[in-house]
Amino acid sequence: METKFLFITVVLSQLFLMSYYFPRKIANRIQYVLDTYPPSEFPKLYPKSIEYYTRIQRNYRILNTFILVLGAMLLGIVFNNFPEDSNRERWDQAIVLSFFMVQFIPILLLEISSFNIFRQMRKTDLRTTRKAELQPRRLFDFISPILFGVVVFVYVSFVVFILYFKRFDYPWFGGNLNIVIITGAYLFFSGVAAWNMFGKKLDPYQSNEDRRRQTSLIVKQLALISIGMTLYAIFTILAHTFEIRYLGSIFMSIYFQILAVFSFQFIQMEDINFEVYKEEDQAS
Amino acid sequence: MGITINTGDTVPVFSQLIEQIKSAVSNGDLSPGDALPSVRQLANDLNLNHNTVAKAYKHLIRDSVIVSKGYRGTFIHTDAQANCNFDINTVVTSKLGETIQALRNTGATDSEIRIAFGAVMKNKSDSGA
Repeated sequence: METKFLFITVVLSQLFLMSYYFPRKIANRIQYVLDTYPPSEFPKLYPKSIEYYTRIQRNYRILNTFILVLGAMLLGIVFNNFPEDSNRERWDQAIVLSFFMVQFIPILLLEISSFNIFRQMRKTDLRTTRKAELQPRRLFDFISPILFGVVVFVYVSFVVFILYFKRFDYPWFGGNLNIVIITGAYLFFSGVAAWNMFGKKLDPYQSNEDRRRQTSLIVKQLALISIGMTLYAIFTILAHTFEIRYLGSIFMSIYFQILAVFSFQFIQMEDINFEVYKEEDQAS
Repeated sequence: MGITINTGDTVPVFSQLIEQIKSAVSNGDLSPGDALPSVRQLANDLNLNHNTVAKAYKHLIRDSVIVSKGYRGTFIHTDAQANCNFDINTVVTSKLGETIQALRNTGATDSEIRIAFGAVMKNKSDSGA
């Protein structure tokens, strides 16, 4: 019975956080930009018609509300039909995971729209002068050596943990496959970080200072997600070993919420230089 | 320290890069030992082809204005200040002018000089020199 209430509470929190709190925050940010930096004064910020932006915002709100209602209904069904048998973890983790993926759809669609807007910005940017800093960008310009050290320490600890754990010969244990998967994820995150640090600017008008701030935020988020992911992988193995898998879905939901908190961090609006989107800069 | 290039200018982009880096060294904005961005970084920031930036860096390395230290990156040369005033085009034009004058003094016609110059350049190119 306690597990049932714990499960419902944690998943309810996931529902609130990812389908109400963060989406509301994002939609409010979009509205703030539309109100404070209108197309009449900041034309370069709007390479597409204003209707396109309001439609994106409206669809984002509608989709999240739909997922919120759907989630609440699903939770109601789970609450009334919560099985007490020991095989529950086979389906409750599937619910948490699949619902998390559904909750990510709106932000994914928003990201695709952002990419389209930036692509249109680059297409309509007819300036012949281009500027760059004559300073190399390095990893530690964006992340503190301490945080980087923690990422490396956690990864090495994970590898040692897996190698040590192999000696127990559990039939369910994936062995080196765990190292391969986590290493693959680390390589992927490193690639994303490098792309942000050295790749082409998505927004052609973005100031160097804004780019530095944004890259720094992304690299820190990736570092924290890497740490969270590795610790969660260790936890799931330990949960299997000590036969507390019935709590697996609860910890999975908490893990997803922590990931969401890491991922949904934004630069303060006041810190962003919107002057670059004014018409006056067209000549520069 | 920033750099600005104009893709609409008649001066080739790689020449603009060379001139601006040399000018930054001359003005003291860049000092010996200062690190420069990698070719990839600068090319991406300026939205240029990597080969264009690589060509500019290659010329600057040849003129000893910058120095490449492998994986550690590219740095301003210790003698960059003195070397950035060196213009290879002026030297080539001056030496070639002297040589042509000397050949004319021997009685060679311009046509013969042109043919001989072409043949020598072709031989040098074929032998990979």
